[in-house]
Amino acid sequence: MTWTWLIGAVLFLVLAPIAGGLIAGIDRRITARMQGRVGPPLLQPFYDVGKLFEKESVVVTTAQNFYVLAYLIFIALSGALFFAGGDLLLIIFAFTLAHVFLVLGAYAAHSPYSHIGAERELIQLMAYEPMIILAAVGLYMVTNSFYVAEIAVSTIPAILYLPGVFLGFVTILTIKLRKSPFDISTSHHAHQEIVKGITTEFSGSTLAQVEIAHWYENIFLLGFVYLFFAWNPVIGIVAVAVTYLAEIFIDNATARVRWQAALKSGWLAAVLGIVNLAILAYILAYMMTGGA
Amino acid sequence: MIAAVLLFPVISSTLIEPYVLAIYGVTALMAQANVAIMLLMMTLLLVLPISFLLFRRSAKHLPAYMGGRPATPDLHFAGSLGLTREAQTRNYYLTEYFGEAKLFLPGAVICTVLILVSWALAGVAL
Repeated sequence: MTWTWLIGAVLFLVLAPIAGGLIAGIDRRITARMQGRVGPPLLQPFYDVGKLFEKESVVVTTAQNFYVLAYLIFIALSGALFFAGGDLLLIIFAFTLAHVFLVLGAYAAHSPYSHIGAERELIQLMAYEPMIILAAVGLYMVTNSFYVAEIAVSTIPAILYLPGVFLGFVTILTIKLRKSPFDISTSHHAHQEIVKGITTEFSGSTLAQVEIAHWYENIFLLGFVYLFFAWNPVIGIVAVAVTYLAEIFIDNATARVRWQAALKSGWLAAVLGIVNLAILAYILAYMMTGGA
Repeated sequence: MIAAVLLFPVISSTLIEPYVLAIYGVTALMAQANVAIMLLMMTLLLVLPISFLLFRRSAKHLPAYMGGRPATPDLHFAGSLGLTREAQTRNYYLTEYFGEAKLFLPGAVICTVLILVSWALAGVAL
């Protein structure tokens, strides 16, 4: 019986908020440089969250805190399952469930602004969900396993078989990282909206939990990107860094689109993924019959 | 109902799998670890509401944010000159994507084709 999976899960639960916060800090520095500013200190995200925890607990309804806590716990759980090498489909299920809790939290607040944020979050969910499942299916077709532990040690260069799936995944990654042009439900940037979308009614430690959940989520998503390049760890880490830099660049070079465009982009990404998978299925069948 | 949810592994192994095995000869089982994880998640869902007790004491209640101006308790925006405006929200029906007008023709075509194919296959089988 191996217990290595437990080590992965525990390391994720402990280290992901630290790594996620650092990435957020680096993100803010690079973003600032792209906009011709100096930017905040590297540890600013930690200062922000630390300050939020000291604020008074203010709510519209008591239930909203429960939903946000459930959101944080299920995001952490899905990430922990991922780094424990678990089943991708189950991980995606837990990941989606987590976002349903966030949406319920925003609805529970009975506020027009957070309602609009919650509706937009649901539209985002509809936009990215097909593609994230297709990404799991694509990795399965290449490596014959839904288990992260087996995909991660596979020696097959998945990216060469799944360029379309990867492109589609990067598109929905923009939605998931809450970056422009698809930051329709809430944004990191003050210039995008006057009111904070889905997080309008969350404050103090509850808002801090949303932020920490986002750090967990980002590490999980970057781990997902890594799976496409897992056959070579060096290339994998470089690819993750390049992907994130590209996301920051896109974030700063585009303005927010309407939700219709975000939905269509998400589904276009899924169509790209399906085309890729269809071609892949054809090639795999060809190889199987010994045609090559 | 709740028992059915909690006992799904038992129901699956005693009722569904023998049936599927009898009909198709093979069954696809969920991995035991995954069943365990799902039960764990469900337990978590049942335990989490206890956290309500945690929040009830401390939190201070305020009315919802209504654009920086004081709102009436029944969610009206406070406008200028003493006016109040009702806040209205409507559902997104996404008729542009899932509307009847969009879905009817493809749906009818696919259903017709499927019915014809099933007839044709039934004819072949006879």
